[in-house]
Amino acid sequence: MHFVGTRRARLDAAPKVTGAAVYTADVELSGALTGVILRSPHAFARVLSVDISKARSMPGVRAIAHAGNTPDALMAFGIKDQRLFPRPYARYIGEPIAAVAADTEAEARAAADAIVVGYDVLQPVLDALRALAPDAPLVHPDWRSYEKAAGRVLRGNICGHNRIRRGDVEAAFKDPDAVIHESRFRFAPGISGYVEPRAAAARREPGGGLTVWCGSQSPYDNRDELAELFGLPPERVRFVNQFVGGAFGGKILMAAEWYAAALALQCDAPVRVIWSRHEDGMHIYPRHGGFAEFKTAAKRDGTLLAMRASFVYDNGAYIGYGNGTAQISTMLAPAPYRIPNLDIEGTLVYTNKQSAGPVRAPGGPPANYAKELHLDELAAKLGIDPLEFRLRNAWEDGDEGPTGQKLSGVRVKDALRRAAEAVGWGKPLPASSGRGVAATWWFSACGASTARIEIMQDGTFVLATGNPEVGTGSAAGMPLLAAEILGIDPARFKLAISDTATDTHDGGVGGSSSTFSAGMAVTAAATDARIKLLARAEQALEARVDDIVLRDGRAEVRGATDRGVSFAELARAAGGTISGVGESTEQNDPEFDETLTETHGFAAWLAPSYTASAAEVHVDRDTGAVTVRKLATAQDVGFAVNPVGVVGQIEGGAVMGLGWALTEELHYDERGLVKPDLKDYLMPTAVDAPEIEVVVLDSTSGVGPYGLKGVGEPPITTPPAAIACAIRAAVGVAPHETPMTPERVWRTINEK
Amino acid sequence: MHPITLFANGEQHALVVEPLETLLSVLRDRLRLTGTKEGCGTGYCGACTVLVDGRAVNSCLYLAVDTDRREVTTIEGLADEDGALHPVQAAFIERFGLQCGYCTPGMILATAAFLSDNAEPTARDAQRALAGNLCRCTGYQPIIASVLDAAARLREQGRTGERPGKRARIRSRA
Amino acid sequence: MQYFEPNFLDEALVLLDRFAPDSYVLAGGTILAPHLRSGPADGTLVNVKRVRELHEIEVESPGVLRIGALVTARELSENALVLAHAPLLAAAAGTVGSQQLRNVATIGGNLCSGISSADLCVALLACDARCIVAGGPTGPIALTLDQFLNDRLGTGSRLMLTAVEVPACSANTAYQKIQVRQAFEIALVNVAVAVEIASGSIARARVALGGVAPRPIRARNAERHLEGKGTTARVAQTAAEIAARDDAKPSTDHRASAEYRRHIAAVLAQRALLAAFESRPVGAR
Repeated sequence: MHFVGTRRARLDAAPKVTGAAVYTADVELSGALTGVILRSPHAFARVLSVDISKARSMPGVRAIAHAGNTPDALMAFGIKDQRLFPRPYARYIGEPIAAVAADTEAEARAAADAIVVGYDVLQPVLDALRALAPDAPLVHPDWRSYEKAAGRVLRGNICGHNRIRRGDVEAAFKDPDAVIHESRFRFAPGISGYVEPRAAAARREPGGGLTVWCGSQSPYDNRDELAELFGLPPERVRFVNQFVGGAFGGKILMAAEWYAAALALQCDAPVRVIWSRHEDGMHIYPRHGGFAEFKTAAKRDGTLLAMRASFVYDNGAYIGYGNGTAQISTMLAPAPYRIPNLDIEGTLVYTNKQSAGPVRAPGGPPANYAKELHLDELAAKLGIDPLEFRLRNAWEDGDEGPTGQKLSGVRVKDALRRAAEAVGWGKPLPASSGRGVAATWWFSACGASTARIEIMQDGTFVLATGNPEVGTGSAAGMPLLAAEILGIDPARFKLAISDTATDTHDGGVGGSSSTFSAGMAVTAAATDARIKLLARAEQALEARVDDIVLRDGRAEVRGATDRGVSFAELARAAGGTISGVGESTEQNDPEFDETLTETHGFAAWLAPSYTASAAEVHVDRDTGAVTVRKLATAQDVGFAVNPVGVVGQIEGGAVMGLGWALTEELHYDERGLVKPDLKDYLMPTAVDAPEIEVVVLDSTSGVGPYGLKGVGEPPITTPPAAIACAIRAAVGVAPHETPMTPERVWRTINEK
Repeated sequence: MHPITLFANGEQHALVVEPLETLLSVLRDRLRLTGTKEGCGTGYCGACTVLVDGRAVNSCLYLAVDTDRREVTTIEGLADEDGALHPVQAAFIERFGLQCGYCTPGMILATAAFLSDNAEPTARDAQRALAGNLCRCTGYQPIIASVLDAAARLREQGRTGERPGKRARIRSRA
Repeated sequence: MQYFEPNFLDEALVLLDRFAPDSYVLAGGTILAPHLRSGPADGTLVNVKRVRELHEIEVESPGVLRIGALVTARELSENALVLAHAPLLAAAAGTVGSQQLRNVATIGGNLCSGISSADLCVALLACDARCIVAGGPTGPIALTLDQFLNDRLGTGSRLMLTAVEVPACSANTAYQKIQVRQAFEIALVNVAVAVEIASGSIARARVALGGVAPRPIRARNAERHLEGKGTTARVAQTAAEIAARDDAKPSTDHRASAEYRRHIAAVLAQRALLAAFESRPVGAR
């Protein structure tokens, strides 16, 4: 291999270091209006009236969108509980009630302030456990009338529920030789923390089409959803995706795009909706906060017998894409260990807060933090070393996952050992220092993806993929895959990324899927182009296909390189362009035992990967301050197409995980979200970043290009758990609440 | 409304600005230099970092009125006169010091300013210097590697102590 | 919004007076400008950066360093006179925020910020600093920093802080602070100490606490306890306990509880005192 697996500069690095890279707020649109949002000031209210009469006639105002003049349609989520504008219930502080487009921001804001909204203020419910109580206010009083997809659970404030059961946990707990441990945990909600606040622009096109400029993780799906809600033919709606300044699951659901489109459809000028950090915060899709309870039984020799676990997650006001968190958590709780008796359940609850979203590895950090710390405490009860305890119970090839899925290519023990070794497991440590280790598994995902490669007669090569560049490196990885097959230097590709006009549909960045899905499509497109090039070359060189080599943009006869022809010439002979088109192939989900599950929509994991992290920390006992000296993650990636990209994901996920574990917390008071600005929401700085060691393991998935596995999410799933376990090792206890701030650590030590 | 003369990347601009107008707003909205990014608007992320007379500042907090007769360097003005990338830019490419790139202009300028006063920094020095520039993608490892690499390049090229960016060219009064 | 750039101090004072109460001193602007932008853009902004004397650092009289209100945190951390004369202040200045904020944030702004754990403020409180305030009917007056913080110059005042005077500090000093993350955060609690030691015992001590009261305070009970005592670990511990129990008056907010703040005050005060007793180079953490 010449390109795949090598370290090469990203194709988008040059524009990014010179300021030439265009993000949504940078897009020039002449004559653009500014769109602003009027948001509900109440956590829960019935909207009685929206009076735009004064606002409409104010200077500079060109469009006002609200429930009265936009489609009444429900958004196409698994539970149809949400409209573009609330009708009649506004369910969280900050929920958009109307949008105004005007010549200037000041004029738009003044007009928005002049919209008179009549509210009937209602009693909100702001706590997930409270929301479960029988007498709690209902966030969706009309829930009984809601349509929902098959398999979805909806009952009062419960908007999701799943359960995995096998064997008999009660009998196992009654075993007189079993040692039992129980724990409870609480997780604070957090945010994706992308540095680029959300932004979008839209323009109505002559003839009834719409163009939307945005920075989305999934522009094709967004385009389809938006077209459907506004009753536009999808082929007339064009999403032009820009570079995205970070996403991490927070830019899958549309936000500014909706309002830019709604306003643009009412006037004749482009409308820009560019949010400040504060506004982005009011519209945030946070990582779920919630609670967990664990009860586990093991034999004296450390063999795990049974686990009961229960998660309750605070989903906020609308279901959106919040469903995955509870499903993934139940698949994670007993993993990656052999536990014959299981009763694991996950519940999602509506509250009057921002809707929680699929932030990087939904359920991953909390489920693993709770499970691993809980197991460490059990191991301590048994007097067994935490690493040894895990190795004794870890999955191996031939074992079954929680729902009976047969596992192969299992690397749990390798990952545990390599991570532990990287932090010097077993070596002496000074006082109040400790090491922890944690392991998990994760899924790969293969979505629909199309790619096209065009070889032009002027010597340029275009690679069009629908997979956006949100930082995760499609701009780096995809060219490598194409280059490998076509023999072109990857730096020579011109990228056409995520303009829906190129018709390269892609399911988007998320769910650890991009290199898999888009990679398959790009590989197929390159293969298609290769076949066509070779066919043309055969004629041009009067040689047989088997004797022709593609190298440096030329087709040459093996052993007689003076007999060659450039790709450009072949394209000219073909009438100007040679195109290759490819699609990802739908993958079958692995088989599992459905009788073990209850309304679980995600009970079999494609091409699973295995990850373990280890941490070494020092705890200042007097202040509770935790210093992470080193973090190591060993991740099984199947095959590293873009090794630098893989390491980048693992390091980035480690620091993001450290933030979730130690410093990041969204605050709510009795009214709702307390402004999530970056002064109070503490993300790790360069000074917070510890030494990080990355161990890349490979074991083919058997599917996907070169047997690769999904890479983007596992990196954040185990570092928080490893840090928690290291704290426990250092001072005997660790907080059961995140983030594990100095105060929480100090209190936990003193409660001992 | 207050008149100022500001030098942005060596070019002179005569502007009339509002008292509370920020340098960030002048750069992006008036001068169409969109390389400088807004990440938070409150000085807590560093994405908007530019250099004023060679010193790193958050342009979202820096008022335009305070840039009168000062030299402002944005990411667009860091490359050499002949277009060659500044050693810091080259290092960030070589060492993979970016993913999404949104923090990158601010990160590069903060680095350039830091290195103009620190020829041989340690990794710890570099971390402290960049404490005000948040990155959510990389975990900072390759960023620190880029800073140290850039320091070495500057030393090799004999450019330590040089103020980054293009100097002002005063228009002649012809 | 009206805007002026006076070249001289008396011009600035006249403007502040004439347009009070909606007249504002614009220094670094890192706190004022966002604050003003969030409200109606009325009033009068007086940008004092052209006033030379506000930027100056000089030895005013033997043993007194005069620092203009517009001197930045960066200058304080690097200036030779400050390093020699008031190392505690230089050390605290080096820990302020970020490179970008240190280049712009001023000593005057820090003292007027109203932030209970403002680094420069807490450090200066342990330095016997005096605040020179101009604009009053009888001309400039000198207040102790403690007095100044009591009658904090809010926005809209006709008075203006023009300089800070710091007596030469021959004491052993130390500065400690705690945050939730490792950098770039307003301190939860911070402590600055200056201890004058003569013949093995404490002649005089100043202990300043931030984050444990509505404003930075001197821990006077702790200071009284320290006077005349030996420089032992036991003395440091007891003094710290007194500071936390009798001087600190913390509140609970979403960042930390009062109980934790009080506890941390004791821990940091003890550490700072021990560092000062042992003449360790001054510096945070």
